Amino acid sequence: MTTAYSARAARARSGSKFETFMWFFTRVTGILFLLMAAFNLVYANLSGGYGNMDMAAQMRWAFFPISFHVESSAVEVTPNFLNPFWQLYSFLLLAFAATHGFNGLRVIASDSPADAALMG
Amino acid sequence: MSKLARVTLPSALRYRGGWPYVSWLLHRISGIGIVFFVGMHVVAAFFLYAVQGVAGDIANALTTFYESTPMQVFILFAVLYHAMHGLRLVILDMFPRLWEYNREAMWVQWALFLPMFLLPAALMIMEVTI
Repeated sequence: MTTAYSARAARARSGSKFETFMWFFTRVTGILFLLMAAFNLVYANLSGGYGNMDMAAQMRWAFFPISFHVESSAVEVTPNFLNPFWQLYSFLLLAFAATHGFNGLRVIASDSPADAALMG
Repeated sequence: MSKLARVTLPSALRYRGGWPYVSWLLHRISGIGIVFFVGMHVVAAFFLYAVQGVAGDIANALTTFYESTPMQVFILFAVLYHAMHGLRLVILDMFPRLWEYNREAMWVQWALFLPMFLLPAALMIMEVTI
């Protein structure tokens, strides 16, 4: 088991620069999404969502904090999202998520069955 | 780099990769699920607000589909599982010596994942407002 995992790590290190970069990018953005989701949830509930959102609205906001996502709930948030901070934030979240996701599809498509044994 | 997989369905079902394999497979299924859901959602939301007519009807149908409770529970499962599995991979890759304890880490992952999934899923099905 241990040798297989370190072999995978070695392959990741000795592979092309692009693969190594995407390997790193996927991990960094993955952590970033977790932090962003936590921030979105805390912000949503502190800015008037608490008591007004069902589970689905909480999830929508954790996933992607734009005003559309709470229109169906009783929260008044639209003005909060008209400033550049949230626009830049949403844009970066979407850009990173799309890159993370489509790179993941590319990895799956170009994967060989032998790699399956190496993955945790 | 990649070779065509010569794996038949019966041999795939007989494959005894155990929990690591199931876990790896769920990571991929949830990842593909998220990409397809988000893609569908972006397209549907665009047509919902921008277009009337047939495209608008399709967008409405898609919206009804992904706003249904089973789909929401599935998305919660996919996102949460993908996040927990990914977090384990990141932590273990950061400290490669810990791969020795992968099985224990997977128990911890399930122990954290199950309550984090089942409680909100129950609230979602009961349509509780928080």
